[in-house]
Amino acid sequence: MAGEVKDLNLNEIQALILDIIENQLYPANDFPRTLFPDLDQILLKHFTDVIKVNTSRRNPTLSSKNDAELREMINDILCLESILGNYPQIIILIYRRLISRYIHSKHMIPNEREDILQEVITRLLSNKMSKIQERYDFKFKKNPSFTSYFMVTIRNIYIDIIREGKNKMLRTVNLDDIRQPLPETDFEFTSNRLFIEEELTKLHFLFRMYYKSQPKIELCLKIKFRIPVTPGDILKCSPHCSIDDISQLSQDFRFKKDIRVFKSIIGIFNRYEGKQNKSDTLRKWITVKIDEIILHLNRTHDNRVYNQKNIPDLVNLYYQNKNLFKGDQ
Amino acid sequence: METKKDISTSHLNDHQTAIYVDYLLNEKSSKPAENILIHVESCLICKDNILDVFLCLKNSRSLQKQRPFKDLIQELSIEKSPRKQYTYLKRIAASFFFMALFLTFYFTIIDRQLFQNKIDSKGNSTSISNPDSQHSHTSIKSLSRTENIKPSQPGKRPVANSQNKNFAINPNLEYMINSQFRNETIKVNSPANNSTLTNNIVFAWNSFTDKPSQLKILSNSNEVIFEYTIQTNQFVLKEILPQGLYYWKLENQTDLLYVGKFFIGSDITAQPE
Repeated sequence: MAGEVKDLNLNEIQALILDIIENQLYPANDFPRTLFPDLDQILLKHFTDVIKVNTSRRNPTLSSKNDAELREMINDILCLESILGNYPQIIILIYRRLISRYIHSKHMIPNEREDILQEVITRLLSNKMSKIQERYDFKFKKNPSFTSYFMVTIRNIYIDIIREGKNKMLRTVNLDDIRQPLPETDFEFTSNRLFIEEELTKLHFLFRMYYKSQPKIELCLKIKFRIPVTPGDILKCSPHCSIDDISQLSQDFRFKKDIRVFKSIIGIFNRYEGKQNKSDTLRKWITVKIDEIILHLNRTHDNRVYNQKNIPDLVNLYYQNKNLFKGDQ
Repeated sequence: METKKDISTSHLNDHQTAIYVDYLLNEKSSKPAENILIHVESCLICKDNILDVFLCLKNSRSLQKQRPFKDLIQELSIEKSPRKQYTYLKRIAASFFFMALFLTFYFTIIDRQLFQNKIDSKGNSTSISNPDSQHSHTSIKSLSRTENIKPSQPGKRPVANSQNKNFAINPNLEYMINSQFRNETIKVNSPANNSTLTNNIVFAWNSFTDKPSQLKILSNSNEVIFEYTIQTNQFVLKEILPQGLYYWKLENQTDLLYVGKFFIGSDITAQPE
């Protein structure tokens, strides 16, 4: 065995393999080593195993003094496509932490997590990996990243398992934690801060998924929840808005009722959208959107966590911490 | 590749969902098709699907910047940082130091004698070795009787030292001494019990009923050191005895008539009479 390894002269090309893994095939941006801590070792071992088994590859690898040839061979063996096609179990090995993390974040019953993880891996090995092999085309330009695709599959498997087991994938969190983010200890403070950040991130990307209506939703939310409106908010919604309209929309609505507020601004919206809606239409529209947002936010919680009463607190908190998402605008 | 479906009538497939997730994760990645964006805007189910996978990946990627507190706590509890370990080592070392300091103080200053007595009397199942410690606590019944024994020359007792084992009392012989006091067959004139002797030892007694024929000198371990045949009521010991506690017996052919004890406080040279 030791002789074989010596013959293969892997030690000499190990640095080259690692270089290709880290800089070419599996860069840290796509495969953060905090999440894939043993990725390099797994791939290195996989390479060794492939070379040992495949004698036709051994000699050229050893004898090749051409760096380009050697690189091509390493690429050929270690690229995701090759591993997925020939050794799908290695893919599961690589992604096992991410799968586990997903199940831990989704499933709130601790003693069931391991069983579900086991079931997910079993299903992957039995038929799902072969489906991924068939469906995921690495050569297709508009393909998503493999990680995203793989995780969508994992999610589907998880949903299937939960449905079959008639389980709930809900977690219970009290919104009071959000309302009172001033805990007694550092630990509680850290946990609350991270929890709030997660919720705000969710809200932020939820807004982003309103592809066209995001600026309008945000503006209307601010107006409805009496959050100060900036000219930037208005210009995002209506780029050609006049100064009078901007001052009209950014006035202080704190002491006015919703009906009066929307009556005073509907004309501006109608003007720039070319519509003849009534103020109630806009008011009801934003109410529906708020309901949708509540529904999405509650999807990963108990259904009663967010409601019409407490959602203003979260939205307010979101705009107070908007700098957290500066890079994601 | 999966066949593209009409997303106006059905939801996003896995590819489209993954593409949208990529788009949210990284705006530089290819933007989903317009119809996908519009569909997602109005589709609650697809939004949920995307958000679900996206949040998992987003949180995982942000691990590099900010690790979840749970992992952090776990790591802290499993493997402590070198600095933490160093702090713990310092605390342990300090604990040992103070413990050693306390033990040193206790055994050298406060209760040195008691400690030494305990060690010396280990073999004799008693805690008394020094005549002064006769009043010390003991649970041996026989020893409780020795409390009545008063030294004949107080203040001249040998001080416990490295030869303390030579001064350890022998419970069996002590019991005999006390028994002897109740027996009036012989009245001993010299040496007085518990006396400390530094010179020639004169053994003298008066016998009333039984006449002793043998005098035995015993060590505190009940070993006969010297044995003399006697014919008178007096005997002078000429031998040299090292420091320690000694017992002596007067016997006739059949009975033990008397048991006494004395201390040798310093080297003596027995001189002939």
